[in-house]
Amino acid sequence: MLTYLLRRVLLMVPTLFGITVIVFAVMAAAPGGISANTLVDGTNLEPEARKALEDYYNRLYGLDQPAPVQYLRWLNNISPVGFEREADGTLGAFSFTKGPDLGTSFRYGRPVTDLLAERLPITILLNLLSIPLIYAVSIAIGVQAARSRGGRFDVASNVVLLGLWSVPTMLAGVLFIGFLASEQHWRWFPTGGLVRREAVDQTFLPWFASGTGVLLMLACTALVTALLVWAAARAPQRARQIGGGVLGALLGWVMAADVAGFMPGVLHLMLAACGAALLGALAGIQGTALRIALAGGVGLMLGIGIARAAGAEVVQAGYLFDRAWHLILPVVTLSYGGLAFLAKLTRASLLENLAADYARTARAKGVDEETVLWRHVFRNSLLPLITVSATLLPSLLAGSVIVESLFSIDGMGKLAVEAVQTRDRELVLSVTLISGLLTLAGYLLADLAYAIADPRVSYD
Amino acid sequence: MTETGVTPVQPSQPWSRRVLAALLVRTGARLGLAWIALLALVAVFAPFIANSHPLYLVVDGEVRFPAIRHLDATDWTWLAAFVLGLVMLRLPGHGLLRLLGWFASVGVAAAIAWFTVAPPQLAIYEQYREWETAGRVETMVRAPIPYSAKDYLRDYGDTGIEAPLKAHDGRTHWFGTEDNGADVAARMIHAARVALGIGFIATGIALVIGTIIGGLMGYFSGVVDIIGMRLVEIFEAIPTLFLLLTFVAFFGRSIYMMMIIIGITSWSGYARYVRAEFLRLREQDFVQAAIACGLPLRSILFRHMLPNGVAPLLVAASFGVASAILAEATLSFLGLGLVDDPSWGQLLNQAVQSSTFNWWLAVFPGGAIFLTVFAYNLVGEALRDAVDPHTQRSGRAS
Amino acid sequence: MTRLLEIGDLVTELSDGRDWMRAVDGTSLEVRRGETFCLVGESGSGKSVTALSVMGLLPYARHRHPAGSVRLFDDSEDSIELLGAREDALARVRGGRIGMIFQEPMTSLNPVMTIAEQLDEVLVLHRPEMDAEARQERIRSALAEVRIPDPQGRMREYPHRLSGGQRQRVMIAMALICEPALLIADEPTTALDVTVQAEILRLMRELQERRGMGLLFITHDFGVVAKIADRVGVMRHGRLVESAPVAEVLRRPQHEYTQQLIASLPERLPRLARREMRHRPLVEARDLSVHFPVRRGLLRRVVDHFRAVDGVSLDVHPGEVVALVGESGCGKTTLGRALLRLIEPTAGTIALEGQDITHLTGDAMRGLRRRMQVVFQDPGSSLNPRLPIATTLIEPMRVHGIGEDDDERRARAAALLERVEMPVDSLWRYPHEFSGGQRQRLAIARALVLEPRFVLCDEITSALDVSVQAGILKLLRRLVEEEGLGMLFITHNMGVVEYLADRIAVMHAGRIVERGRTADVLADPQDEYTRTLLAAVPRLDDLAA
Repeated sequence: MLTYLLRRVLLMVPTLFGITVIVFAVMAAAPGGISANTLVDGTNLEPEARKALEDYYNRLYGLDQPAPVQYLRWLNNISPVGFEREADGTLGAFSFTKGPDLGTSFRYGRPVTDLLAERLPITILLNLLSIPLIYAVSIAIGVQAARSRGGRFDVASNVVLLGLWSVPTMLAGVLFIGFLASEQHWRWFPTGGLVRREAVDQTFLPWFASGTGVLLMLACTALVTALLVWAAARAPQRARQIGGGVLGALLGWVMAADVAGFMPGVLHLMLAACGAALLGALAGIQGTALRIALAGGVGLMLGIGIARAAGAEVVQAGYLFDRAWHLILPVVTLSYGGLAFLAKLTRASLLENLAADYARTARAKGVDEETVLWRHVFRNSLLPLITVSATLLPSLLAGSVIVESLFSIDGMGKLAVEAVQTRDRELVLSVTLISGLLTLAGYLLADLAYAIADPRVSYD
Repeated sequence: MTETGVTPVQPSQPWSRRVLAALLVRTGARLGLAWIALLALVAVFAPFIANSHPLYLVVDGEVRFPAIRHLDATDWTWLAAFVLGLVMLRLPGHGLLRLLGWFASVGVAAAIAWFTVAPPQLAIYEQYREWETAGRVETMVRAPIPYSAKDYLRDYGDTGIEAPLKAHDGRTHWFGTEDNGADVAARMIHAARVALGIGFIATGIALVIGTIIGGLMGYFSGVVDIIGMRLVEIFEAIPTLFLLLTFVAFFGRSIYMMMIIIGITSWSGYARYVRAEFLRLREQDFVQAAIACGLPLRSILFRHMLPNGVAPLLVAASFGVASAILAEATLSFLGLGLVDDPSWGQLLNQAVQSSTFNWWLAVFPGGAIFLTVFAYNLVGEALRDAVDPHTQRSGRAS
Repeated sequence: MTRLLEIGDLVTELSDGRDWMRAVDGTSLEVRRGETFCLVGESGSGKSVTALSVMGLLPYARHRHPAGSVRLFDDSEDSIELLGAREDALARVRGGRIGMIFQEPMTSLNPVMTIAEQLDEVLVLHRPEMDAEARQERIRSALAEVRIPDPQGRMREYPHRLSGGQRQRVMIAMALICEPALLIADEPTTALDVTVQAEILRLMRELQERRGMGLLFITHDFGVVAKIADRVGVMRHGRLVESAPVAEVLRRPQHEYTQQLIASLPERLPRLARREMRHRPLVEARDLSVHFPVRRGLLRRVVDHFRAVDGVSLDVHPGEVVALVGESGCGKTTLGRALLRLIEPTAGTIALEGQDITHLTGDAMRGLRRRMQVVFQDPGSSLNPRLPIATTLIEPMRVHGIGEDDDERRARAAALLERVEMPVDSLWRYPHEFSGGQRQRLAIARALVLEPRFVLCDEITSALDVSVQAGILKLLRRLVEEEGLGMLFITHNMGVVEYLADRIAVMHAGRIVERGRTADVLADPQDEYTRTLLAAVPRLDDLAA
């Protein structure tokens, strides 16, 4: 096992090396490439000052040297052992303790390490929120679809998931911002950023005007949630569907009233009909667990809304709530694509395993279908999901480029776009290096997780 | 045994026909293919659907065909590709040969168009409207959407971003106008070419690279395989979008450059597929038998191995076209796409760029991207079912 | 003996999503306590579907029973109807009163659960009164009963650590742990080697006698029938054509189909007179070895070699069939492929008609390839599925310059098809349109098209039904007699060896342990391994008198 791990880590080195070579080669081979000239370009300077600046850049980064030499210099800089770099740009003595140096960003004039330390945690936060969400929801949907194979839920979810998978991230983001965050429609969410300035100084938890407010809020949410969960679990299908439909129509109406006032109009009818159809259909789902989870979510939101309307006055939303409020749209935008893909994969994998020989053996032992699914098939079906988790990370990193640019979140994705747009060599190389490292680490983690989940795999 | 006994008796259907038939019984595939066909027609006839130049014009007693006069080399190439495609469908012969023939003849047509067609350098879109107001026009037949993609309506004073059907001066913009005042519908129609062209050509490039590298890895294995797999791993470990961004930012943004760039950043998946298929096929009995028959390497690779490994490749390619279209749209959306040429992603980008949200710039171009990607994914999904021996309803019970 | 299971006029229809196909068509049979009922038939005869119908294990919503009944009796002659029973009632019967074993030991156990967990599950379900300790004890004794070595240690293992035979023992332990009255075994030994098969059959027989349970045993192998059955039912096209005590069926089959099946068994095929042909050897292998490197560690260094073929010498003369016999993994396929230079030998020499071909490469080797041809085991992959048969047959001729033009080659191909008893219009068909036996005939035609001197046949009949196999064996024998071909026939089936081979070579662990004239070796094996192997082969004549 240890040998295997060591071998894998050693194999990462040439791969990382290759990544930087390719990116460097692209930049060097580009017309214009990177030269002190392009960096100074656009600045409004006297010719002498410009010349001086160019010379400064040339000395600092060796930009007037041939590309391979530049690359070697860069490699020397980032490697933890190598030649010391003197102040005038020349190489000094060989040292084992010089430590890696990712260089200084052309554009920001700050060390790349500092920039990354600032930006990387934000991107990782987005991804860490998305991955569990993706897995939880897609497994729930996949299991339900596989269980009702060929049934209504299966067919409907299949089309909806393929559709979701095809919605471009930027379209979803634009629509979210346009309809749910802009002045013109529903201003439910912030348009961008990660936190409101004033929230930084606020308390961590929400602050209510009075103690009764707290009680009212708790009571309302608990009551409404409990009621909906009970209905989802116990009520007969027809009653559930009608109840869901009525609730959906009501919510749709309220939503329309939020922008169009209380005068009934086309929008009111349309949204009420959509809400009724959506909640009615969701309430009619066969899988009890899935229904209860949905009812719980709807109940929580509804309870908070009712409590607010009933007069539970909130003085400060608090830092936690504000953060969550800012993260909802970006995380949803980042997750839905992977979610759709994974749910389809879960379904396919479950179906394959339900038809496997060992599942038949379990049935022949007298195990009932539900236990066959959860005890025997489920664990085996998780294996492909673990394999896929390796490819999920790169796609999420790519997704954060779009999401961060769209929601103006200062993460690494946005940094990457800025870096290439300004031809910031050190930054581009470092960002690729870090994302490559993250991806390879993801692969390795996925393989290790696989080895734990599947007793057949042994590494030597 | 007489010679007559050896004449063909109704040959059975080859694999490609069977897959096509299995594909076409699926509703999803039919819908997807229908949308792609519609898109192709729109792309081919874009200059006749949306054009500021009238199709037919009698001005000062003189008969003119400005739309045809202003067709450029690209327009002629698309038209030629369409006509040649129809011809090739009718021709007899092996499917693959016909496809190659089509590619070759389109290439020739493009070259001819490039050297012979010379539309006027300067397109003055306003003049027709000016002539009309001046009363010089006797008869004029306009395209259904009488605006070109790059007609920024300079002759109207206060053009800018306008919601659908909200324009002044009696102009009708079904899908509204964008930031610079150009008609959104016209731009979308011309952008269909970008989407289709990039989708197919970028995927084609990726397929060729992936097949060659993957095939070499799978057949020769050993050192070639180890080096190749490292290369694949490198390309997979850089998030494609980062690599694309870098390429585009540093290499400029012409449509051809985009095709090549998207192509060379997305081959790694195909290489993996081909490699796995070749490794599997090399052990198959019929390939071993072909080697035992002393067939030349060329025949073993291209006649016995490649056609049998093509199924997963086809499936991957149709998903690949979808993601190539998405890649272009994403780049344009991030402001790294085509500069002046229309593109759906670039229109979508304008939806939230100004302080207000312009819904028509999100819904229509975004909807077009979504439908196209959805169509390819539907086709890919149906194709996967059609080529998968497990889901096939075989007529023979063994 | 009292009745235990009664199947009456069972009809089962299966759906492929669109059409319904009748798999079992009015089968009636009865299994009594303490007796073994063997259901025999060729593939597609409906014998497995019958068993799965009894257990209610057919894919949900993909099957229906328009008619019939399946009744399970208990000690007091009370019965319950299993067909269409409620799922919970069926679940109590499954594993509790009826145990079942399947064909594929490699995939029938859950790979991510330990042996103990999987056995424990049955006890928890059907013996809820037992506590955890008692269950562990019961599992240990059950594993010991099926003679798993070190049962205590094995309990914590995952299935992949066990061999095929051991997994099948675990399956048997699992099926029998609740002491069911009836055991259904669906081809339980088909995927196993003969020596393992013999042990498993002995074990099952013994357990059945000790417990006095009923056994419904499904197989296609008449040798196995002779070894284990009390009564036999012969199935064809979903119907039971004959049902009688085993001695009756095997000695005096009543139904025409049964007679024909038994006559098709290779050991019952009429022997042909053989000419003695002694020429220069056609193919000569001397001290041939094929080693595969085993790599380990940080740098993937070669730490050891797996000796698939280890210093084997073998001759094949023109006009004779040499059988290469051995169990799976003994290196017989590797040896065959090395002879044809499809795998590079590590050491030793190969000569074809006196010419050393061990190190020939490129064009020199390609030219010689027409003199040595091969037919493989799996009819599913032996022909290129994308090419019509005509191309498959004509391309090699064109490459080797046989025939003036394609018309002549086509005529040759057509003539060859007649030789292998296939219709000429096969030329314009694709492989998927043929059955397994037909595909093997076409593969033989492909091998013969180059007019080879030496043909290697690698288990070419083991995936086929006996009646189809009989046809192919006769064809091969005829081709050898008429053409003077030399043939190396790799197989594990002793009946086939007896019918087809002039000489035999027994392979074990990469070496040839015994060789000689077929009749001599079969009658009087010298080597210890050969004796074990031959003793394990189930034969029709094993039937206790």
